[in-house]
Amino acid sequence: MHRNLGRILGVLFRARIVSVLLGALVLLCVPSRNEAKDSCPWINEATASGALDGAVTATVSLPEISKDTDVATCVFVHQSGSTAIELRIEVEALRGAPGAYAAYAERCGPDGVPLRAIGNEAVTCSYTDKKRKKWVSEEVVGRVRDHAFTVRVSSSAASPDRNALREKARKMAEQIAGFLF
Amino acid sequence: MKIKSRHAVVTIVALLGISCGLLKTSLAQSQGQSQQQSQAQPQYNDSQKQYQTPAEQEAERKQYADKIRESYNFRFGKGDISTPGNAAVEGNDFIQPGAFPKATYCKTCHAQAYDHWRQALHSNSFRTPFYRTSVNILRREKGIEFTRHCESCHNPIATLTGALTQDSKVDRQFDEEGLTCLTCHAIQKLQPTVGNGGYVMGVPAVMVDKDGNRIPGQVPYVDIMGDPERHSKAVMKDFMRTPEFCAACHKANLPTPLNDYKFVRAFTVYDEWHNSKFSKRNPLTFYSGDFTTCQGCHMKRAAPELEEYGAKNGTFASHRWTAGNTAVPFYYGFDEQLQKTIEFLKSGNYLNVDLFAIKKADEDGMVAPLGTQAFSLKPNDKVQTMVVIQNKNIGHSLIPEVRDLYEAWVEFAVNDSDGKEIYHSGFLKPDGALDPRAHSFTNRPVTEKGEFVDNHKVFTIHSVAYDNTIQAGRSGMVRYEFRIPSDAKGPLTVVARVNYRHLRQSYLNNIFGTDHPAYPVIEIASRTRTLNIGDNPATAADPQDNPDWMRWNNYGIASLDQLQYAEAINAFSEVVKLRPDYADGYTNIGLTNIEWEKYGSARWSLKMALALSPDNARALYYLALVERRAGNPELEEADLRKVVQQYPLSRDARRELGKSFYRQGKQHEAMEQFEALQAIDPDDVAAHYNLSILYGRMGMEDKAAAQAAFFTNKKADPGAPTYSLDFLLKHPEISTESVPWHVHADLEQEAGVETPRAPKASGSGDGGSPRK
Repeated sequence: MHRNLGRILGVLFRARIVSVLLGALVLLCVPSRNEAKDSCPWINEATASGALDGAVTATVSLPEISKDTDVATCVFVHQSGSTAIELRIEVEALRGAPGAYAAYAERCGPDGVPLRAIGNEAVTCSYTDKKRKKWVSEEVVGRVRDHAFTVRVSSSAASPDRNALREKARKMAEQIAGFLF
Repeated sequence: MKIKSRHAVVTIVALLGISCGLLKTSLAQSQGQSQQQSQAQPQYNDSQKQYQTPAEQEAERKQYADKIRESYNFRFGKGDISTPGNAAVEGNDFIQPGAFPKATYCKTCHAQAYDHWRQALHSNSFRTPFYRTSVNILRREKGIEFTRHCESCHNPIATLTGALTQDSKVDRQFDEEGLTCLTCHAIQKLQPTVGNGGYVMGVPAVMVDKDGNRIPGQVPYVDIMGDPERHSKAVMKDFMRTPEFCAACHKANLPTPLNDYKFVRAFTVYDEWHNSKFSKRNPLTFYSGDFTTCQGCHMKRAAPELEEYGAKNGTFASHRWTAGNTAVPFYYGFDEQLQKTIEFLKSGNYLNVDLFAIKKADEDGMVAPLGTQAFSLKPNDKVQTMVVIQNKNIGHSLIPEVRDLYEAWVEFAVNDSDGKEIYHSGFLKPDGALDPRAHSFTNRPVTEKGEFVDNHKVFTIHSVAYDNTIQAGRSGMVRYEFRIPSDAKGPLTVVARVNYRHLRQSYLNNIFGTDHPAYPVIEIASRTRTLNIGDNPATAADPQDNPDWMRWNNYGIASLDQLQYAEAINAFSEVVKLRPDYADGYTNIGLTNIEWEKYGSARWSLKMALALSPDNARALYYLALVERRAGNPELEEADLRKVVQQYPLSRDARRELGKSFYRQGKQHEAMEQFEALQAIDPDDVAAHYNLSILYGRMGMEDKAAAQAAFFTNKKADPGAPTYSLDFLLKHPEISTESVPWHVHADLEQEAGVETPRAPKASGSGDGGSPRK
């Protein structure tokens, strides 16, 4: 098998096709334009690392087709041994009726506590992730003009400090809102 | 063997290619998600290793700066880290954010300062929506590198750490502290007073060693407590108590690299102070006062309520910097700061509002000053009221700095005894917008298309179509005309007040949309009078009223500024009748005659002033101008020399003495004066112009070329009036206000002339138009 493959490649080489292959390799390995732009629009990894107290892995999801460069979802995860801490940020454009934000903010539920001086308005609450029952999450849900955002900080630690998580979420929410103004 | 090697290489290449292809496919399938493991990024860390040696700190800084430099956008020149701003740092290289201790580090010993600062504008200089909305526009439209212009003052740490670049690797957690303790207290020296961040930051240090060398970074508290003098040497400089320190940021221009146009003055509250009576550097002020710095008003000393090791003799300089901004404390819920700000705005006798005179349409002359003169009114009388507003004790203009965002205006109302509104100007409409015909102390910067720059896109400003303010020590006058209704029940109550709102409603709407709470409107000063329908005898003065001679003087100053020379002369003549010992009364007559180009009359008045007050610098200055006109250069020079001797930091005296020397061919002496002028104000265009010529004549070609370039860039654009006119043509309500002498009235409607009116529910509106 190996010998056959070598023979085929040898033929290709002799046919000066290798230069074509090399060119194709370059094209394949260089990220496309869309991929190169896949950094989080509102905060960089260094800031997320600072908030989560360590180096992070970033996952950025941008909408397939959107002229709104503020809309995205970013997830930053800092792994420390067996425990992880995660910062998840979602920003979406509010469309339609004036009540669009009220519907959006319901994700915080009736226990949401109003937060002052974050965007136009914001509430903070605890979040329960049904898929990750051992995780503890605190989040801020807010709005800047016609953009709604959710900032959630989650920890897989055994008994994390909820107040600390909530404060991290608040600080990051302020960063996001500041960017969206 | 050779062939085999080639095969192996090709095999590896092919496998890599397949791998890359598979990887790309996988990424595409995950809806555009990308994953990256972060590299070792520069981190903001407030628990840095303590007591670094300078060598350690330098090595750490170099390592950091090298990394930042790899990807920094040097759009404005290699090594240039802050253009279009002016922020500078010792070593002229990036500095790591962790070099700036967080404010909580200082709080341990300076609890009072921290408590003030946390609610103050300086600690919120970056994060507020009011600022972010503006700077975000610049970032989105031109690029983050242009924001170095704003952030040189609003976020020096972001500027000097190299955070203001695409794909920044800097942790921005410092944003929440804005101007933290060790931004101001790490500044090592000041640049010439050009503003835009005209400071030179040092590596933050809170201690010096026994030889006076700065010890960078945080040091243990026990060391500071062991030698507080060495702490003080590290964090306090004499210049920090001077207005020039404030000038580093409270003076701003829009430079060519920002706007791709030319130098445009943004604001210059420092120069306004310099020209005020409080600086004691300007002989030309209408009134005199005690020397007071910016800090004297905005950092008043008081007994600390919290632990504060910086207190001296039981008092500590406030770090609230109370001024006019009610919006930030309102937004953040800083109730104490808001209350202190409101108290500040209402305190200090900053403004005097004077219902100075009335003039009835069917009678010659006016009744003035109101209260002193008896008069009578009857139904159907058409009454013009002159309201004089004196900027009595503000060390700068009303309102300073960004006049396109802040809003101060005159509200004037007349009501009968039943509370029925007869006239109302300066009301707020139901949507929160100000009566468009109110007399406001605002401006209208415009683009090259003559459109109002409503959202503080300063980089698009090409002209200012309208700019109404009252400079320190001067007075403004507003005329309101109303008719007493035939069925009006007396007495009438007339009130004039100066209101202040931070910020203008349409800018608040730009920030939040229209669904935001109403922001506070503060009455800074007001005056109410009761007018009988019938006889009005003389009444006792209110304690807040100025003496009559000063009321006339202020009316004269306002008339002079409205180019009403005859009225001004009459007013100042009343002053000298009431105060024959007051030399400035005569000088004011002389000044008015000079502006009216009646030099002979001016000479007589100025001589009278000098007879009362020999060597009076103000009178000498104006007399020198008369001598110039009369062709007496030696006398002109002699007078100006005396003025400069008394006021070596007077820009006007230096400028005029320079011109005097120049006209006499005394080039070296002229150059000396213009260089002195430039040291006082690096932006003075007369200095640039004359020095470009003088240097050229003396063979200093490089310096001449530099001055010529400065002059060309800073002189007014001759096309600017066109942009302004385009705007004014489209905005008659502002066009009217832009005329120095105008009347606010709604009487056109009586004659059937259609003028824009406010909604009926909000008040009657006014349809002012200039009627000379």
